[in-house]
Amino acid sequence: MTPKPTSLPPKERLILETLVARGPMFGLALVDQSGGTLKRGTVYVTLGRLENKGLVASEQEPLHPGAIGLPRRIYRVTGLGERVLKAWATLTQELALAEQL
Amino acid sequence: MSANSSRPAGSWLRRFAALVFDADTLARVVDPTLADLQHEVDDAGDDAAAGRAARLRGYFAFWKLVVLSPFVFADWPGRRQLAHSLTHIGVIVVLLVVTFGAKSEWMMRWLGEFFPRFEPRIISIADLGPYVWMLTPIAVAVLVLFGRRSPFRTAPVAIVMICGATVAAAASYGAAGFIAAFDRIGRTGSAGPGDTISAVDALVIPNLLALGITAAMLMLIVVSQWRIRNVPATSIGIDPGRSGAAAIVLVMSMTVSLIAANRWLLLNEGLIEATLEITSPSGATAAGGGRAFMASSEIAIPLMLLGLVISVTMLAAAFAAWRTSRVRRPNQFVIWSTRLAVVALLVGCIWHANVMSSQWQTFRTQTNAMLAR
Repeated sequence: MTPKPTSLPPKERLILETLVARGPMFGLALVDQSGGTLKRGTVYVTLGRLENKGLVASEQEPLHPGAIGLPRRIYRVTGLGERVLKAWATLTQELALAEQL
Repeated sequence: MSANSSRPAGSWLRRFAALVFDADTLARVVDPTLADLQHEVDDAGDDAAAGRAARLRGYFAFWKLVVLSPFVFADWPGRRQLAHSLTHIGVIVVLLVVTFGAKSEWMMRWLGEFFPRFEPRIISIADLGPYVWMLTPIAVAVLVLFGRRSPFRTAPVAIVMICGATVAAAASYGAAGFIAAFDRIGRTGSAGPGDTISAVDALVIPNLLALGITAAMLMLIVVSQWRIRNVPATSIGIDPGRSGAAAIVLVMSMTVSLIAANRWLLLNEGLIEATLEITSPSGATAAGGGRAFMASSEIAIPLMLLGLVISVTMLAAAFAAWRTSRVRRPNQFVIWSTRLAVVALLVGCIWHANVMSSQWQTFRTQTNAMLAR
């Protein structure tokens, strides 16, 4: 059976590009940086999908002593994520060139 | 993360989410969303306005996640349970609205006013409502009796609450339809037999239908206790709550659902009583009580909305009960409360159906006499 190719929808690409450009970030910071493209209610669903694909990794922020509440998660792009993003950019460029020809 | 508050913002939402989402979704989607809320509220510090805005944004994000969850978790592990459960609740709510709402007088008027193009289509769909509503409990009963993966097999508490929701919805739509149909008496102080008959029918038919079906469904569930002996969880009362707090919350939800259904039915019986006064052969028209009650016909929409809120809340509680029942061991308190609730609901259904059908017969006799005169 042919493996299903990894797709990279626009929101996932935006997250990868932001993480590559700015380094590890919290989900809320990604929402702020996206200029309205990413939404609070669903950004973690998209990040979860990226984690499932192995393109992004996350870890909880360290808890301060005496702190209560839930720790946030910090997201960073993985090596595979960087390679997929580069490959995707190359593919997009190639397709654009092919269309011009 | 909050360091200066004993109970961080969103802690109740986190408890609710634990009932609805699986562990993986909680850890990777819900917790970070609530962590953002807590962090922003914490950042707002003493600025009350900023704190309120942060809470609003966070709560909105959370509820958006809950509402969209069946769709956004399309490729999420464990999404099948969640999507199926929410879809199931959605279907029941739509059935409630279509069956008892779309045919009611006020909604037909409202649809005609605002959506004239769609009205005929919606009303024709609504005509199917009673048949769908009659078939649904039968399908549920079949699932209870024979379905291997039925969501109801382990959650009699959920069934009791769904029955309560059904009766409350039927009763509230019935009352709303009655008051809307009886609008003339509120405005002019008099009504002809035509207004009276259609109004009482609008109230009694959905009520009796819901009561009858609920009673039949409960009896089938009782039968299932003997039918499926090899699945102990199917026995009535084997239900959630290893912790005392969860058991108390479930029993309270169940009690509220039964009380709400009962109150709505009592309200409807009061409405029919007032109509009986008006159509009484002695000619003693309702002065005071009955007429004053019906004069407040503008309460039709709030009545329906309140009934819908009660029904949806009960369904949410039923859903939570079902989710809890899948992971927790039986609790004797809940077992016996459920048994008691099944009996109370059965007796209540029979009692109210008896009162209402006897009122209906009296009303028929009186209106026939009026028409003969």
